[in-house]
Amino acid sequence: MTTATPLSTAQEASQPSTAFLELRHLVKEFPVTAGAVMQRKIGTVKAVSDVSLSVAKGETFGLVGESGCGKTTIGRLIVGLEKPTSGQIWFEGSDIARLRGREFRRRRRDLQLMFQDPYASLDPRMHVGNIIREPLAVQKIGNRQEQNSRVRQLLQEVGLSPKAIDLYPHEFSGGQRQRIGLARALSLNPKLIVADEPVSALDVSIRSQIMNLMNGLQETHGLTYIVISHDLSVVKYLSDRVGVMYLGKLVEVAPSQDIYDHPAHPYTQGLINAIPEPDPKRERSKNLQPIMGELPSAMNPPSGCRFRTRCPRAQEICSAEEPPLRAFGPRHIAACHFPLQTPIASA
Amino acid sequence: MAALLEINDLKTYIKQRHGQVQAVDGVSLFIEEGETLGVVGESGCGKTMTGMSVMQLLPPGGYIAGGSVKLDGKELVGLADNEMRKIRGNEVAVIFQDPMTSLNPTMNIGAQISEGVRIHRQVSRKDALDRAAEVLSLVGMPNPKERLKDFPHQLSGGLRQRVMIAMALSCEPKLLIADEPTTALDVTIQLQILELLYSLKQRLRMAVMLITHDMGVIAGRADRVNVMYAGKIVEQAPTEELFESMRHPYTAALLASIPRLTQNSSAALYSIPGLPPDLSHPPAWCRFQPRCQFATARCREEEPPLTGDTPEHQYACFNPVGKGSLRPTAPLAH
Repeated sequence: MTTATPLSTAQEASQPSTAFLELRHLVKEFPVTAGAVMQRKIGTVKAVSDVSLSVAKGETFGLVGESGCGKTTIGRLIVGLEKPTSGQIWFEGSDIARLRGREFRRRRRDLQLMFQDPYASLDPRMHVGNIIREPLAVQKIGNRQEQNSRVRQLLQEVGLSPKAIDLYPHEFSGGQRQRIGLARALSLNPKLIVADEPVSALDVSIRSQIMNLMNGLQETHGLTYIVISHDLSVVKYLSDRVGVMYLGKLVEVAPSQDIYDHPAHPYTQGLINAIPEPDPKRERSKNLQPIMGELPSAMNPPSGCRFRTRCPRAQEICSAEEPPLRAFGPRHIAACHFPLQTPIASA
Repeated sequence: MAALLEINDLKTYIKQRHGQVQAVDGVSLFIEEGETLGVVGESGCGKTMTGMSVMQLLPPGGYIAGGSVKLDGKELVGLADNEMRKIRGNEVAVIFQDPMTSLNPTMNIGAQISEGVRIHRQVSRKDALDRAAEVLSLVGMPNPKERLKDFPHQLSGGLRQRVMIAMALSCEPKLLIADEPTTALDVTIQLQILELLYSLKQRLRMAVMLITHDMGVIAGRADRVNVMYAGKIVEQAPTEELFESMRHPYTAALLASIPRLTQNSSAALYSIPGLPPDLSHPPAWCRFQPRCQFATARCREEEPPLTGDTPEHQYACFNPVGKGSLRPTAPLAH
């Protein structure tokens, strides 16, 4: 488990990573065009700006942040649905961002995605059996009979009846559809699953079913998870470590309990304060200032620290210099000029 | 003295191709002036339909099959359309969940806010726009006069919700129905909006029906809570009392299934097995019974009435959970 000081020299950056999954200086920018007839580029959305982190095998790493922070883009970059603008994605010793063709397809089996919206991510015109079988068919694994048998096994694992094979997605509830999505993600026996907002679209009492299921499957299959959500309670519950993102930047990473007990970054504290807890006495005694203002544009992020326009602690240096990531404890880093705690002597 | 809003045995049904869904099936509640009533439950429990019944804004096929809804003593059920139009947006207003789809994308926000003002107050266009700028400022919109010409798509989710709140408040309603007002928003924006609603409600002495699935929002913002399940109210109590001594197993199960920020363990969460009943054929007995770990034979024969030691705290259950907040035992296999 490497400490998360980002590699800074070009030489270090070219050394293969020994971590299970490591993102190095990952950047993803999307061009924005305007014009009806002739499309001209008027800017770029800086969705992910120089993010580095590593994940150990068997761990659950949570990525939390609000709209436009880049967490979903990172999830898509990891599973290969997007190619990075620059930076590296090391997985089991190879930079998968560089892979093409057959090597790339082969690697994709190991990194699967559980999609966000259980209502939109299942093809409404396909039987559930075929939806789950599709990855096997695309990757040409097994014959039809073997694939069907695997589908039945997967359905059982996620707690659905084999009758589901011949039914359509609309015949299932949101929670059941999420199980189907999970079965599909498991079909290729992946090593890592990126779960993008796995429970946000579900009713409260169904969420716990899915979270319990995810934890159970992790044990059985030795899975590594990356859980992406705007809901810190969900992320904290499922994850061993949590990374907080804001406007394309990773602002803090720490073990889950530490993120809640000793946040170092003012944005993390603001996120925690904003979460309404089902406890009237605690809620009413909170005398907290909400984080004011609106999210700045991702096309024109603020100079220096991107959070400074909404930060109660911001000073001049915050607009002049981007704060570096510093250590605040074992496996706890944050990027802030005026953090909520004292950093430990530089590692 | 009568409460500001009194709903008595409301039945709102929705006709479908085959049969009808009994979305609200005998709901009674009241809201006093200046009070915030939380109506909490999961999807399909009937909370939104209850709010929409007050506004008489039912979906196609929806109709009020029985019961009464009185606003300030005036019966709204059966009221003629033109009479209801005078009340809607004027004495009672609504803010919807998703500001992206609830605002008219083809009108600028000045026009949308002043529209209600002109209908209900018979003022000139200029005066209505002045009022629009005034309420926009009230809801904390930066540079309100300049923003009047903006269109909804030019604003972020949080700002659009402020516009919706401004529209709702423009005629100073006595009752605001807030249907999942912050569910679609980022959590830091959610806090801003909830704080805003709270301060406005205090300032304007406005009653609020806060409809949500989020127990945390209810804990912080509601004076009293009604918990709904499958078209019925299963428990009602003042907020603190509900969380401290809940009686209905559904309320307890709901709370037990929420992961808490404060808990430092990844012990399995309680999960309620099964699904809510089909409301096109609701059972004649307790609707929560198939999923309840405390169910007895009686629960499968009769529907439990609302009962309780005090009129303030009522629950519909033959086997209520004991004192203190119950944590239902280990998760059941599913």
